[in-house]
Amino acid sequence: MSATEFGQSILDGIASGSVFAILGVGLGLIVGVTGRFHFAYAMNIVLPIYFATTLISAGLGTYPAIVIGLLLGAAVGVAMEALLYRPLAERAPQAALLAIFVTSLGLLTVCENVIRLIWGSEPRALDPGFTVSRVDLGTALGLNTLQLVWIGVAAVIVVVLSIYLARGKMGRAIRAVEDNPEMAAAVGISPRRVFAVVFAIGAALAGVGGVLFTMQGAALPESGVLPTFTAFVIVFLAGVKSGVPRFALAGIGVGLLQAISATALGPSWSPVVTFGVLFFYVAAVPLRERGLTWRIRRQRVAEASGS
Amino acid sequence: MEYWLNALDFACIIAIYALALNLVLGYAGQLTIAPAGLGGVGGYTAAYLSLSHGWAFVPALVLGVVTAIVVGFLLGLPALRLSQDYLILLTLAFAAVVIAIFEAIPALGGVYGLIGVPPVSIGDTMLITAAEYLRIALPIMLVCLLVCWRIGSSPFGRVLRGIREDEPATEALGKNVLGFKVLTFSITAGIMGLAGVLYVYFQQSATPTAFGFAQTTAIVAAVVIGGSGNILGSLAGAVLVSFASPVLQKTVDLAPETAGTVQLVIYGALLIAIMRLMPGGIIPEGASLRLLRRRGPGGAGAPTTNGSGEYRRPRAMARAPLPSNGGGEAKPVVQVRDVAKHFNGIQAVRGLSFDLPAGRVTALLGPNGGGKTTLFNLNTRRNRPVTGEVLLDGKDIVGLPPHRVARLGMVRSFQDVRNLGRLTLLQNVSLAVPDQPGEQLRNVFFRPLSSRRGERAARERALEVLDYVGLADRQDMLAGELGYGDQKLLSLARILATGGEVLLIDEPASGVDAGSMESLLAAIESLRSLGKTICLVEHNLDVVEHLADHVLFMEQGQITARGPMTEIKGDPRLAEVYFGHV
Repeated sequence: MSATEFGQSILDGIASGSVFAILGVGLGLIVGVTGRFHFAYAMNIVLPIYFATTLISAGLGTYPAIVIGLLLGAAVGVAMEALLYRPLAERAPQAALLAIFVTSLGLLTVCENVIRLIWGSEPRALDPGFTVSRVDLGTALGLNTLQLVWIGVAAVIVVVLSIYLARGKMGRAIRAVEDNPEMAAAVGISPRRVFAVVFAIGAALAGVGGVLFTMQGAALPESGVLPTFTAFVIVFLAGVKSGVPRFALAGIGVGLLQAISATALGPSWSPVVTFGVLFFYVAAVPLRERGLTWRIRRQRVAEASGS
Repeated sequence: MEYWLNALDFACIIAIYALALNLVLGYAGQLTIAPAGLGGVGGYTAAYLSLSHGWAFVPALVLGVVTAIVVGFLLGLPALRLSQDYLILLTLAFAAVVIAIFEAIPALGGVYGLIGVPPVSIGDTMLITAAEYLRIALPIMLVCLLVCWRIGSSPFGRVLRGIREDEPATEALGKNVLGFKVLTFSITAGIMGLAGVLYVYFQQSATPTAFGFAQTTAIVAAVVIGGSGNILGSLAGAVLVSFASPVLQKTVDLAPETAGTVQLVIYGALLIAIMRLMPGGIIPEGASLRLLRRRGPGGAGAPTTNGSGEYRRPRAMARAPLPSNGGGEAKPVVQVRDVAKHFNGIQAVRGLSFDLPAGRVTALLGPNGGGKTTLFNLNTRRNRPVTGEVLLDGKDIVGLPPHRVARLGMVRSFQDVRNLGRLTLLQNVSLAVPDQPGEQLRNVFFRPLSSRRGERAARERALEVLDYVGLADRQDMLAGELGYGDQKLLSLARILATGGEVLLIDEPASGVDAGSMESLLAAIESLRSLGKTICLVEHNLDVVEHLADHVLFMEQGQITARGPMTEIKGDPRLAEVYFGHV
């Protein structure tokens, strides 16, 4: 791999990592605040694309169609939470993990195949509405305008969402529920409402990520699954209860990892590397915990012998 | 005909996967999404050996299964130490990595997979048609059914269900839960690998999609829809999952591709509906048991309460040693020496030392956070002491895994009882009996007589103990259906059945109404008369006064007073510390 190839793969990695950042922030908000293992996030990624492309072929302009598609997608996200997950969690909080996980698998299967029945299995393209041209950065490096849009959208989302969570009334309620649901409920914050808002934001962000990726290629009913897996990688690498910037950084990190490993080892190896990293990261969790107790023990022994 | 037989072949393969997953998910309660990935490990191994090295079916199958077992073991070692959400994530990462590796390695055919695997030939006959393939698929499935059913219904399976209901509680009874989980994971990985091999020979190809996420969803669907924790449910689920599409094609006359899609919609919707409406699945766990119970009161244990259900004072057990706590200084069985403990850097206990004299009831009293549960936590994985010694019969047990501590004879109960709700009373107590031959799989399969004898002995012992605490008449009830006072009695019965000599009893009286209190006190008193060494943590002073031979008063991780309850009660300073006023 030459220096130019390496440099270009860093630029590409930051660009695709920006979209991953959006996906990671959306899923991170859902998993961090609600604790739901929301595999059907894949449908939040894909559905707005189908909504938008359908509206476009019905004669609507690209961007109004995308906005309506995203709003519909957010509504689907809220419906998933309110109609399916919440009743399970309220019925049996202890067994909720299994129940929600299985429901989420079922939801994923149903939505994906309903899409196939309604819209068919052909790829769906989404024209960005502007001509994608290359922007040179230095001698041999460059990004295209779509990639610049990716980075810009991600930056805006990270900034706006961070401010919203820090300053907004609802945003602060979300963070309160994330920190301590019981305490939040005790001061009069309705967790139901917060969860609904979180699913709306999460689903909308999933949709944005899906739309941005589709502007480059095309979407299939199953296109959301792999990005969802990647989003899980990002969320857990960052730490489930992280803040927005940390999820975003983890997203860019995963984007870089994929781009560099694709250049160095060939594109087919980049998923091996991505999921391999997650695998070893999670597998090492018990070791890290043991390492912690070991450190404490050693520290105590040192203290004891010192005193 | 060929058409239906094809579906039947496929159903057999899904059934094998589902049987294995049921042991892991339904019995042991471990959420894994690795099944198809493990099947892929087995299937690709066999396909590769067959295509590149001309291996015959049987040796390729054996090596495929062995590879899957090894991979399952290596995956299980880290995976099964994790909490549920990390377990999902790790198995997800595993499944994704496996598929990604298959697609990345050219020798494995990349995204197209390994195509043209020769059909199975046994002797001179080639198994080409669906009917012929069924001749191997069906018997292998039946063998797997038998193996899984045998494991599930053995004492080994009972431990798995204990792990599902409450892992720390099962570990505290002396079961090496990690060992059980890893063994189960490895065996089922082998069975899943076997299913993968069969699938490869069925399709005559090994493709990434054949072992992808959709396949795992189908397998999970078969288990969950059929009924997790019930082996027969997995068969029903497998049939449902595999026959929906062919039935749709024939009856509603859908095109094959549409039928496949509609089938997926149907079982996805079924997954959602089942979780919402009947979480136990269509054949729920213990369905057969409930049927038996409805047929009449029954079986071995005759009712032991008198008609009114009034508590009968427990009688001493035949096997129990006679009481021996008359006078003199009792020898200490447990010696706590200079123990320290920390929570997140805060030193909760420092330099704690005390003894539990043999055959006596020692009560630990004092405000919360005083370090009263230090000893108890040796029996669980949380908040264990870091330095110092705890000698049990002279042997240091600090740092031993909880199940080892229990096996050495020190067992605990839990304040919040932690009975195994979906197991019967008899199963709850049988689980606690130590050294059961049937908890080892080699006995289950190769020494069936010994494990049956062991099971009979465990059952007798459990009945004896249940009778002792006065619950024998409800032996077939599910523990979760029991009233709270009786739950406490059951938790006593469980630790008693372990045969441990040192019983740590955590707040026996908390949350118990006056009616149950009497029987509870009587039960604990009679434990002392059996010669057990007992340590109580209890806030109810009347209970402490009634039961305890002596009291240790603990504040801030240190013992500040000791003596009989009457003395402790008379000390105004202690009263102030404890109650906040005089």
